[in-house]
Amino acid sequence: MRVLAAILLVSTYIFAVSNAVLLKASLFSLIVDLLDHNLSNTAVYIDSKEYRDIPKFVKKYRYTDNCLEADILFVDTLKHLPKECIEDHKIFVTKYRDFISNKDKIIGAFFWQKGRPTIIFNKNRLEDFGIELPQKYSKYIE
Amino acid sequence: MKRLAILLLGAALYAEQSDLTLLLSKLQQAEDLSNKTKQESAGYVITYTREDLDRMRIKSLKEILERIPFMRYNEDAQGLTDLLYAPFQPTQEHQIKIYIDDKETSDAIFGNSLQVFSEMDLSFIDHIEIYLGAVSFTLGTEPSIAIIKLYTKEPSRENITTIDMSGGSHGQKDITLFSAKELEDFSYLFYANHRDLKRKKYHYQKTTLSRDKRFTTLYAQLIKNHLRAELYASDVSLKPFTANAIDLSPQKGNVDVQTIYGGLRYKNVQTGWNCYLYVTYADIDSFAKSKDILGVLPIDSFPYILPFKQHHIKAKNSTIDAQIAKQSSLTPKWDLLLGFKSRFKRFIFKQNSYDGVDRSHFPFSKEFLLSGYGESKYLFNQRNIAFVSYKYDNYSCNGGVRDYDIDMFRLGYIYNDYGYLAKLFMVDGDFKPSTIELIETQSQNTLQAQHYRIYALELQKKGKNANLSFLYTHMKAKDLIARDLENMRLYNIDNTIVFDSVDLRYRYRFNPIDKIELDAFVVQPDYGNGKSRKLYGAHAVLYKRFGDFDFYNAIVYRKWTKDTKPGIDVSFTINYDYSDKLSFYCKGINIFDTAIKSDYYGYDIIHSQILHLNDISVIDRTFLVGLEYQF
Repeated sequence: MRVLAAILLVSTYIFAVSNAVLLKASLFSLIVDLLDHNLSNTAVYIDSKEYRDIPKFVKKYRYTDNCLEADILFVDTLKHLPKECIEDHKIFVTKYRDFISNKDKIIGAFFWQKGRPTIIFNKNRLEDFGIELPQKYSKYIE
Repeated sequence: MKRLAILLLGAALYAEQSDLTLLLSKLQQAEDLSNKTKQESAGYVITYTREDLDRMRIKSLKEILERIPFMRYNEDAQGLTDLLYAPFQPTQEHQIKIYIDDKETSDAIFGNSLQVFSEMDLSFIDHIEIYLGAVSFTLGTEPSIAIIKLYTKEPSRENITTIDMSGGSHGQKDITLFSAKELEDFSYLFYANHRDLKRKKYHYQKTTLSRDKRFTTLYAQLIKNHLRAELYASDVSLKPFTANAIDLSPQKGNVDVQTIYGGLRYKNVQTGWNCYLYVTYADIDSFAKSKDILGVLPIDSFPYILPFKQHHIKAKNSTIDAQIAKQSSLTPKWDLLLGFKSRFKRFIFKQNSYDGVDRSHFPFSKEFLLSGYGESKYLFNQRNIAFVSYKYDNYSCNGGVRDYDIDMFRLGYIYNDYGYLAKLFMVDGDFKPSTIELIETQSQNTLQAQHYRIYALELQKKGKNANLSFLYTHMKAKDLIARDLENMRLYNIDNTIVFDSVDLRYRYRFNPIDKIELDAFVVQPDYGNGKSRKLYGAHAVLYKRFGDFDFYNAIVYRKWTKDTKPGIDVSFTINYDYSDKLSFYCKGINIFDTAIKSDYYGYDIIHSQILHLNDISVIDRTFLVGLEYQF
């Protein structure tokens, strides 16, 4: 009976979390792995409304509040980042507006366009960091 | 415990994580705005998602109206949408109402906005919800049996500027500019459309009957946090088909309607507040002239009816709509929604002339609705919820027209688990006569409110890829308003009319992109006069993608009254994505011209003969080609 109660409780906890949040967590994890697959103990900095709850669900990375020591930055905007965090960092923006105005500074972007979630990787920045994405994702590279 | 949960969650996550394309597709479905706006407790809801509408390349609401269970698509003698059209009878304004987000779109005088809106462009609409079967009156301002809610696109999910142009059969043309973006502190949406909707012409004797319509529409939205400002303007010009001429031979006819509304809305899901204020202004100019007799006007003295050849209406009206509502959680299991709504209508007839004699001096020119409502929901456990709602409407009218006090009561129960959903609803309430009916009968003050009682049961089996639902409704209507064809006056019918309806719907998703929907229904009306006959309908819709081509196919079947032959509408859309920015489409509606048709009637007063205008296609056979370019 206790086992049954435990299973019920666990399933309630899981399903209380919406499917969309789980999918975003998967997406986040996949993006980080694609951009940093050679590193262990990847440090991630998050300043994004879209991804702020992710650390609750994805535990395999190290989350930091200091953008300088992060390997990957997930941010809504570059405006709040110090200059030294923008140079030589893999920045993934989560707003369309910042994707458009900072195309040369970011490695990728996730935003909504025409009612659909969209991901774009920046070819030049991928080359700068020596990252090669699997062939099947070539349509996401711009 | 939490660790175990996270462990299980992790397993679920990484099983999903393998493919970016699949994840994006699933995220789109999970984050679909219809999942957020759909109100399961408000009735039996049919949703057309953004994905559905995009793949249909939907050009008007008409394409969806013809598929609504228990109804058929129909148009009145003026070529305007009226799903419950009956010759010479008043429009049943309370049957279906359209809302753009929370704003009811009806006209202050003539009511039924479906009549014009059903053929307008929908490019600024994200998704559509249709509520049937004992619908919650908390959804709308004035009560109705069915509700169509159109939700506008969310600018933060658009970030795009597009232009769409199309043209097709009978010379119809359409151009749409759409732009919506999220900026630093706010987001905006701007939409403009011009549609020249040329339709098939018919001839009665030597008269050409036209249903051509021309629409110019602008819509703009500014959103900052929970506050939204919006502005809508439309200019509609139409040819009124027979113009309701009883000799079916209108020599001249045109209707011009200009509408503008602006509003502010505050909606905060966290605090539960939902408040709005809208101001609407409309200007109407309608003219019709017939060769012999256009119509007959009921008068109070002998000979009690007055034939006329020409009718000209010039009217303007304004409406103010306001709502204050708050949803609160009194305990973890008990939710309470309380709200107040008000609607003030003012209408002025500048001209209402029959053969040049003006009869526009109506004392009735104002109507004020004050409405209070509450809905209490109790969650017994994760699976069982029960609720009770009550609404009280007070209509105050000037000009000697009587006031109406309307009560509505609703009970509901929902069972929901991962495999099954069951809903049971009961609604009991009155619908006041429409404003145009009150204008027509203001000197008599004889019309009673119409009374409805509706029971609805929905059973749903949910699967990972498939969904099967069953709906049964029982509706009893008393004191319905009809026109007596002897003296052309409106009155309340003595008979109680009963409708028993059953609908079965099956949806299957082959993969994240391709899907099919099958639906079949039967309606058993009982008019209390022994002339009842079952009504049947069914449809099949398939969405399928092959590479850069996207296909949508639909078949809609309706078998209706004895006088109308059954019909099948076969329609399709093909989309081709030439590049990320440019796409082409072609579309065929009722491609074999086999959709259900309509008959219209006139009356030859001199020879005492009924005139017939039969087999009129209300859904025109149409082919369209178009392109969309994204800037």
